[in-house]
Amino acid sequence: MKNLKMFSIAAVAAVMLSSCAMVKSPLSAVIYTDVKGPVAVTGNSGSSKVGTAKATGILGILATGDASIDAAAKNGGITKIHHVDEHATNILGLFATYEVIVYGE
Amino acid sequence: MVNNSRFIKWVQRGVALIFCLFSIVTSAQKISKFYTSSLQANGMLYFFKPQKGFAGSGSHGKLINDVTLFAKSDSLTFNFSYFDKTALQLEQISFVSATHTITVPLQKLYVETKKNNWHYRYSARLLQKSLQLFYASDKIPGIILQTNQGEILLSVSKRQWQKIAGRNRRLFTLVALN
Repeated sequence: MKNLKMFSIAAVAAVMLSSCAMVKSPLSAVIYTDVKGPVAVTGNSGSSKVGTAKATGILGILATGDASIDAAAKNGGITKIHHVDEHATNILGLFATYEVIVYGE
Repeated sequence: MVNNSRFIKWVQRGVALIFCLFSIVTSAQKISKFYTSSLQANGMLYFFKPQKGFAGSGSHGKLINDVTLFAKSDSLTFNFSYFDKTALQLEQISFVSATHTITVPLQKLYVETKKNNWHYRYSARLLQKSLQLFYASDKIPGIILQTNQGEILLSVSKRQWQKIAGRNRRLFTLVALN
């Protein structure tokens, strides 16, 4: 019984300590990531509106949010997309964000 | 024994270095993370990323807004999300400072649900100068949403207002320099 308790504690600790928040990014680093990159370009001309959508992750255990292009376009009131960028941040693998930025009309 | 103490010293130095780097990264209050810009045919398009601070009391929730503007334009677009437990129709938004009150009509983008709240997404057009005046206020201002069920007053704490106002003043200065 004691061994089982110790094993359970060790297993939980191993999971907690080995997990880290990962985020999609053109480049990533262990200590700090703050990188912007391209996602898509369309043939539509000009931008006067911008919309963003964001998802966040903590410790690689919890991840929530809607960082879809559709959500970002809706937030900006955009019906014709010109181009889409992404912005990823990660601090020590503890806290990560992924943001989609949509430009259009 | 000597090797052990050396190893511990190196580990301590490594941990100290990581914490130093972390504190530098997190303490730097740069405005660069609060906006994006894009060069367009009619000038530089700026987007002030979503920022929160204003909130209502009771069943009234928080307001999160972003701002889109061209450097050479007089006007800007103020988009915001407002969360509330009550089903409403938002009609107008007023920016109320000690010296000025600016009221503009709202255009609905969408209404959705988020947990137990309604998520209202609306858009307003106003003059750049009007919003600059709002953020120039040292006294804590308020935002009033006029709805089909009356007015909703949204307020902000003094500490948060100092942060929000300072940040937005710098952002507008950046736009003016372009």
